[in-house]
Amino acid sequence: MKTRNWRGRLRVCLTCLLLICALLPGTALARGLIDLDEPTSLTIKYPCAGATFRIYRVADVSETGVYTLTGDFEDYPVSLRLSSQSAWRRLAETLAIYVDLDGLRPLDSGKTNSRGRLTFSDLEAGLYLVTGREFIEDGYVYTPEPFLVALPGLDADDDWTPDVTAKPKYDKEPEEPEVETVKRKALKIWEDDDPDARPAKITVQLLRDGKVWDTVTLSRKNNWSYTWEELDANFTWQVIESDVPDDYTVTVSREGVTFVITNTQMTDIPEPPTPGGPSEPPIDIPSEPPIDIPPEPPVDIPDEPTPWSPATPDTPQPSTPDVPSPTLPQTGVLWWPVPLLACGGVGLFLLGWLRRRSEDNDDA
Amino acid sequence: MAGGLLLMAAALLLTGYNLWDERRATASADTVLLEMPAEIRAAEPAAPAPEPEDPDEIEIPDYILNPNMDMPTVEVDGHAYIGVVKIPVLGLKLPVMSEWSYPNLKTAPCRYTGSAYLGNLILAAHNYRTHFGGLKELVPGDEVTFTDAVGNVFRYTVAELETLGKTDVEEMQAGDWSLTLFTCTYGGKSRVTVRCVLAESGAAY
Repeated sequence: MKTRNWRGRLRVCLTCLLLICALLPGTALARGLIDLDEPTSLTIKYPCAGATFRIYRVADVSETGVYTLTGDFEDYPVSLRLSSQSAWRRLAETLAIYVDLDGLRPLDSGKTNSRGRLTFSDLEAGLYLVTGREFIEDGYVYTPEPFLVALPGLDADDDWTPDVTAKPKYDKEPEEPEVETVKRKALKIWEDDDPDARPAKITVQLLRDGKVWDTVTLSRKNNWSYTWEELDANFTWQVIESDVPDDYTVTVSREGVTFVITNTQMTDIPEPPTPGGPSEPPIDIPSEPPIDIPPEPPVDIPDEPTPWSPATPDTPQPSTPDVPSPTLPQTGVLWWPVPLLACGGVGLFLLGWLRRRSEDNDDA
Repeated sequence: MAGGLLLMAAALLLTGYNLWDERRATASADTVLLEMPAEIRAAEPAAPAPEPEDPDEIEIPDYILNPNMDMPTVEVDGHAYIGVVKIPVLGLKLPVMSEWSYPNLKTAPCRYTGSAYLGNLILAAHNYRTHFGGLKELVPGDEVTFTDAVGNVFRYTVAELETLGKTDVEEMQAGDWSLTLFTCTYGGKSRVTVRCVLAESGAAY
């Protein structure tokens, strides 16, 4: 009876165990536990030789394959409980941004060899982030995507393997030829007698192959100058003044990258008549007899008094004795009365003290 | 005795005011310097850009194309400044106001007259120890630099020192000096005047 009971209980226990095993994921049983003491390695296969990659240890892994953020990554607000491949890719991109932002130091870095291989070895079990730099080869720009890799990884038989090989995804774009650029500058020069008569501003246009590309205003505020940077050197760039102020003529000359726009004030001197002009009939004007104009007597004009604070270098200097002599600015701190006051004070004090002592002696 | 004590108190008060005024002026000039663009404040020429091979692509400073141009200014706290003067041997680096007035002089050295582009710039400043009070200590050969408001740097060498009277307006502007600095003597009746010539390295840009 006892034997029969024991067999019955065993049968029940085996049935329960089978049910529990059926609820567990089958893979866990197939993979077994991770040997955390076994060193691992990661080999990167890339199409370029000399491309740089960096590796960062993001998370610890438990024997059962559960990841926990570690080290510099410990406090980042990210989750490692992800179910899809695209979610892991987004996580890799996010962590790569944090790495750049916080300037995290990689665990290791290296360059791919002549066959495009790079191996990081003796790595502790865990989850790793790998980032790569943009690399130019044979006229193409290779930009690797950051990726996360678990070490140890799973082999074809779904068993843990310490040596993992990864082929990073990358973008390959033809290298854009560097566009040569030039700089052009407009500088306004006024040639006139009365600076106050100048307009407050003028308008200049930048022409690209003869067509207006940009319009800017020059004024005292921008020191009558403007610079255009990084213009495409494949075009011809010129500068012209769009609305020349009345009573001024304009000339534009080029000095290096600068277009010097000179506005010259027109004088009121009438132009000499053109001989033989079609609209002017020839008139026989008798020549006037020469007149002897005596030279004007020299007039002694006294220099105008100058304000005593000249603001321009060519201000005339005063010489009239009737006006107060101009003086240079008073730039001294008032130190000279200090010793006078101090010495005077000490003298007066001593004098008073001596007198009082003498009076006291007399009284005594 | 009371009169003596009063005079001594006056001497003390005046000393206190002068020291306070000097500290205020130092702070004012330092504040202006900090608010100026870095390329002017640095008062050092930037590393020269490589000269382009094509002569059409050479950038010639505006002041060479037009020496008569007004000196550009940069505005700080409502005041126009034409640049920064630096006297390394005195440890001075000071902003320079475009126009002089007594209130302006209480903040920073001022342009008395002239232009760095025409080679006749004259700067005046109070004889605060942290402004031009140390001018009398300069000797021929000392270096003075001036950086204009767009970053052009002019290097000068002290050529000679002279003392002018307070009415020597013509004498101040006489001579072929690229840069002149002046301030009052201790007594305030004369002006310590430092004459400078453009150094061999000259203007850098």
